[in-house]
Amino acid sequence: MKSGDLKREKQFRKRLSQEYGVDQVPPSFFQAVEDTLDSLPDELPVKHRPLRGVLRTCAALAACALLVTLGAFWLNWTNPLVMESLPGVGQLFQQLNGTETPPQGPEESPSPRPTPDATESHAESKLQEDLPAFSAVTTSSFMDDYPAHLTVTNAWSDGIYLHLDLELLLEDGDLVSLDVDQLRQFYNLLSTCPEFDLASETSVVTVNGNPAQLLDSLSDRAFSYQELVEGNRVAYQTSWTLELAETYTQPTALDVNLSLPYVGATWSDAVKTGDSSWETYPDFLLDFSVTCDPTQNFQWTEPVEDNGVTLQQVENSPSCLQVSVDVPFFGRSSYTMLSEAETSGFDAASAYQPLGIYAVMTNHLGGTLTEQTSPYGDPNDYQQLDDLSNEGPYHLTFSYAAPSSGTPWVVLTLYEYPRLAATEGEFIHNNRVVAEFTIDLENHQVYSSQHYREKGLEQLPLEESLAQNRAPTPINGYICTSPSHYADQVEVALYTQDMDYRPVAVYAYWNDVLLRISYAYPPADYNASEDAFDWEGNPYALSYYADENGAYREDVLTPPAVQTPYKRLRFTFTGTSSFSFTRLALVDTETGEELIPDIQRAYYQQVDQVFGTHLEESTYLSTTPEPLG
Amino acid sequence: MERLVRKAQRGDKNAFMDLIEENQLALYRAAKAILHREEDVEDAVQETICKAFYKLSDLRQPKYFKTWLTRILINCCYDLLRQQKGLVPLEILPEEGRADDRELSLDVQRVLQALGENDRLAMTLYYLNDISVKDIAAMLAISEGAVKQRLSHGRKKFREAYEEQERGKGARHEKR
Repeated sequence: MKSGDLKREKQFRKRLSQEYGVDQVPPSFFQAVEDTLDSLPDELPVKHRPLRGVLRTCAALAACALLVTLGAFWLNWTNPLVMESLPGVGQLFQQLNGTETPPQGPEESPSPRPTPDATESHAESKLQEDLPAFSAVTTSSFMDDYPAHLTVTNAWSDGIYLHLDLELLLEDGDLVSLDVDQLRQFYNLLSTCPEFDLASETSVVTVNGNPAQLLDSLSDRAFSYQELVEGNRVAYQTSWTLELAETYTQPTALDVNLSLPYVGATWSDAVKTGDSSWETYPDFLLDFSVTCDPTQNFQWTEPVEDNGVTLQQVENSPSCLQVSVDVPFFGRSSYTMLSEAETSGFDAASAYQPLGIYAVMTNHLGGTLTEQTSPYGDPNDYQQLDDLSNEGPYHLTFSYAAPSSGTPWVVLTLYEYPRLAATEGEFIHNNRVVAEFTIDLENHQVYSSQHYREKGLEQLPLEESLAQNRAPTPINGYICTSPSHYADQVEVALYTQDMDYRPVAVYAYWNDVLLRISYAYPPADYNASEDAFDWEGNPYALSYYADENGAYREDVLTPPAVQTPYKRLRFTFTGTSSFSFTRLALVDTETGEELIPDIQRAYYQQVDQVFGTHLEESTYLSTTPEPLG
Repeated sequence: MERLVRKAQRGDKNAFMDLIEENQLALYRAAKAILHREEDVEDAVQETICKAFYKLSDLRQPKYFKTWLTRILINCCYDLLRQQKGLVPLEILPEEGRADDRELSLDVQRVLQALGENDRLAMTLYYLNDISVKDIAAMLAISEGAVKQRLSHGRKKFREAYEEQERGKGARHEKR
């Protein structure tokens, strides 16, 4: 059974909770949380600027703008060629002077500046401005013999998705008798899924007779407690996003039927009390109409190619922007030979993630559009990621928050590496572009482009990618991994292309004091054996050396996991929970030469060399070891 | 949850309280995976709530509230452990093989054991707190591969412990 299946298995989670002693939460914990919340101020600190400062800033900007404008017109009068040649405003002065040239081609469009974008789009409000306002609809029923009311407070559709805002108002005497804290604690979420599992969803929404697919996650689609309303009623709210069974290309009245037969307390309550005891069957039924407006939608289905990457489809609507691409094989992340010691075999799925699949969407101002992982799907939904032999093409769909109304164009850029380094969250500077596409939302065009050149970035040609040596320069013949301190052991791994045995050892220091030594041993000295697995998952017997202080292992990594064969040396120190190291060094035990004075630091140097980061500087600049004792 | 986060960022304490109460069980489970003692768990969670209250306006993307909050909690737990670990004197080993000769107090052993139980934290975050491998990797500042290794290790240990329990039950039934 795959690990993902276990995640959905209630019994497994329950047993795990019991094993970890978290199935019964002591009342003192809830009291501690309540006491802390009570002790905090009545308002959270909010980021805002004093009005006086805003007005002062606006006045200064206005004055500057006037001076610049007057200066520009004076310069245009004295030397029109100068003003006509300026980027952006040049065309205005060409029109003014009657010397306008034909429109520029797509490759010469202004380049985006990297500034953050607002996360919320105004598309929904724009959509709603043009349509008659939705009138809320309500239906009433009973939950546990008490009156309950379900209201659709808002509904809108762009012809692809339907969005509903729902409110559940309960006049449940038992609930109302609870205080607010108890309500929040035990009845904070009401779900339409009896098993709190997507497969047990009971609500059904049909549009023009066809079922619409509810896209929200379990917790997002549940009704969350809002407040106690006057008249002793409890209010819950949620918002749903549904994908319509068919796409509408013209404004159309949609007949919506909402069936909500079941409402119950969520599994969090079940974990606390041991069983989910609060379930009701109100059988809510609502019929209402929504006029969808697809006039702001844009769909593109003609393939566009750049550097072997094919953009297959664009779908833009006020709900979201989705782009599907096919990316050929540019190589794997394991080709960099950068890893932690405990995953140095590159047998984890993340090690052989393809290169060239890391997308960023920017608008005409250089702002970055927010990835929309929910409810429109994981943007990095790779196929066959665990199959090492799969060398593309990879079919990917990226989802983003819809661009603000009036955005003329956006740019999808695919990079060789993720934007951030593997560790420490630093941006990778040596990051080449694999492909770039401009999506012209005004003129409904999609084409390949090269805005990245204006940012000083290079493109990685597909035909050259597999021949590239992405590994760092070895230090005295060795490439280092990041040492792993795991449980009661420390693991150190290094790679070398020298397949012969060499008498080396890893020395573990606290400042200048040598604490432990782990030696490499020749195969003749091996005294233990264990099951190991190759990249296809086939078991084989691995012989190695072990004693009470640790172990030494050697094996060879070969393509396709890595680009060229490397011998891997693994040194394991055991019994390390009681002390710490400040430095691990690789030493030639025959000559005493320190081949690598600091393996961790050498790893950061290698990361910096491959990715253009500054991990070594940022890690070691201000770190001073604490004095002993 | 994103709506509540935005409300709280505008100063609404009730929205913040709702967020905390929605996540308090997840916080308990994660803290327990690191600290074990109930008093320490309560201390760490209380510290986390206070930090989140004053820092929520710094959170730029509300959809990452849960992972942001969990990261604060993990740092609070490790701070607590470091304070407690500070009581342990660091000793020099004059030669290899003498580690077993040293005696450590029961409390310190428990604390140090907790430091090493990385797979329990990964298992809790993934299976009980429903956090993705990608977000766990970011929280713990390790690679996704390392997270998966720990999950694999944790599942194996859990399976062994469970089978041991079942064998024990079976033996008791036979005796009856």
